[in-house]
Amino acid sequence: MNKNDQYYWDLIAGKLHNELDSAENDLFEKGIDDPSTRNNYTKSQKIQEGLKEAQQLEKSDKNASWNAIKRQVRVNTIQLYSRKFLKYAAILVVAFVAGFYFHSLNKNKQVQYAEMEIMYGQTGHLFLFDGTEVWLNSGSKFRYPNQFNINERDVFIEGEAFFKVAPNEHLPFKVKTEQLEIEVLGTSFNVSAYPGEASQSVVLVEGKVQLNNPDGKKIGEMIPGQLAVKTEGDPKIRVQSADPYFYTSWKDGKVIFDGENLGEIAKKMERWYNVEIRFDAENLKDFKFTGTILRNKPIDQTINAMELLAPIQFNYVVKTEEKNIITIQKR
Amino acid sequence: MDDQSIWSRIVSGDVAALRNLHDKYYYQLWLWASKHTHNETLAEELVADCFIKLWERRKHILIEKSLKSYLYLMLRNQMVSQQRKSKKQIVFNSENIPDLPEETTINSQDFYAGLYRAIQKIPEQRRKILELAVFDSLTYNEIATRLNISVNTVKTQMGRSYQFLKEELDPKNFLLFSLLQKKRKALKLPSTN
Repeated sequence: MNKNDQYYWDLIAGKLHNELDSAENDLFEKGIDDPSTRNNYTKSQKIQEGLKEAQQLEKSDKNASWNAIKRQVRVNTIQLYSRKFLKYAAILVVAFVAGFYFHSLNKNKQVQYAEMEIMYGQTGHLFLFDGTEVWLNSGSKFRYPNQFNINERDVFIEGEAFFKVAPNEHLPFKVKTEQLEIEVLGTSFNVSAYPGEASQSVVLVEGKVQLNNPDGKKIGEMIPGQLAVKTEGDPKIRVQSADPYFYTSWKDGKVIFDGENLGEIAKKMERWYNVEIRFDAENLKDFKFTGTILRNKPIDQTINAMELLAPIQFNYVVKTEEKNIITIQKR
Repeated sequence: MDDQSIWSRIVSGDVAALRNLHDKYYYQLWLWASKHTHNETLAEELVADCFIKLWERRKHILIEKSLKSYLYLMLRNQMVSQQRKSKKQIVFNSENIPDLPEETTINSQDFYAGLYRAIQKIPEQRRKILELAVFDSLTYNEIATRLNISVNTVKTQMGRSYQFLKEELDPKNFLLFSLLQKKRKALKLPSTN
C-alpha cells in the first residue's frame, strides 16, 4: 500500500461491512494481492471480531474498581517506626480455642472494620495503625478497625494470632472473643480462637495482662509463664505454669509437640496443610508425639517422620475439586 | 513498567504500583470473570478482591510463574469461594467454574482489553459511527440517516477507525490472537465433515 492508503482502508472497512459495490469490490480484490494490504485486511477481520467481545467492557468500571480497592488498602506508614517501640514491648501470648462473635460492635457504630481471612495452609502477617504487629495462623478470621479512635483499641479474633502490641499507657489494647476479653497496656500478644473447640487458653510470655469477661468485667490477672484455660460452660479459669515457646513457635513456622496425641496433631495438620485427615481406628489417635514440625516443608516430610516414629501409615489421596484426604492406618 | 518491577514495588508497599497493576489487567480479568459469572457487579467485586488480597498477602506470596497467571489463579479461586459462600443464591453451578485459562485464552483477553483501550481513543463522532456499524449492525446508509451525515463521511470515518485500531494495537497481540482463531478453525473442521 502506498499513497492510496486511506482509500484502501475505506475499502477494507467496506468489505468487512458488506458495503462495497461491484466496482469497489474489483478495486479491493486488486489491492489484496499486495501482501501489506492483505495483512491489514486480516488484522481488520480480527479487529471486527474482537470488537464485539470488547464491547462487553462498556459495562465495567475501572475507576470504581480502583476506588473500592483503595478503601481497603492503606499504606502503613507507622510500620516504619513501630519496630523501635516493639523493642520495649512486653510479650504476651493468648491462645483461645472457641467460637467467636463480634461482641459490642454497636458501642461505636462509626468505626469501620476491616476483616482479614487466612486460608487453610497459609499464615498472615500485618501491622495495625497504631504500630501493633499481628501474625495470623491458618484458618483465622481477624477483624480490626481501619483506624483506632482516641478511646480504645479493640480487635476481634476467631482462630489464632500472635500480637506484639505497640505500647500506649493511655490506650488499652483489647482482644475480644466470645468468652473472653484480654486487656493489655503496651505489650505484645498472640490470639487463637478456632470455632468448634471447647476450651480457650491464654499464655503470657512477658508483661502483664488482665482477663475480663465479655462484658469487660475483670476476672483476673496473669504473669509471664502462665497458661490460663477457660472451658466452655465453666465460669472459672484454670491457671498453671507453661513454656510459652510451645504456644508461640507457630508464628516462626515451627510447630513443637511435647507428648501431644495424634488426634490433636491431626486436627492442626488439617488446618496447616488444608487436607482432611481420617483415622482407620479410633485408638490410633492416642499415639503421642514429641518433636518439631517445620511448616514451610511439604506435608510428605512430616508424614515420613511420623511414620518412622510410630507403627502407622499415611495414605494420601489427591482430590482435584476438594480437599486432599489422608487416611491414617495401623502398619 | 514490566510486571517484575511492579511486583517488587508492591512488595515494598507501593500503592501506586498496585494501581499500575490494576489498570494494566483490570479489563482482561473483568471480562473473564463476567463471562463465567454472567453478573457484572459480581465480576467487579471478584476482581477488586483479587487486588486487595494480593496487597494484603504481598509479603507472603511467591510468584512462581508470572504475576499475570497468578492474578487469574486468584480470580479463579475467588469464583470458587464465592460459589461456596452463596449456595443459596445460585450464581453459577460447578460446571461453570472455569479451569485456569490457557495461554490462548489469556492472550485473547489481552487482545479484547487492548481493543477496548484503543476504541476509547477514537474521536467521539468517529467512534459513534464505528459502534453503530459493529455493535448495532447498521448499514452505512442507516448510520448516515441517523447521524444526519453523508454516506461518504461514514465510509471514510470507518476506514480511519480500522486504520487507527490496527496501528494502535500491539502487533504481538494480533499474532497471538490469530493462534486462537486457527485453533478454533481446527476444532470446527471435524464436525463439518
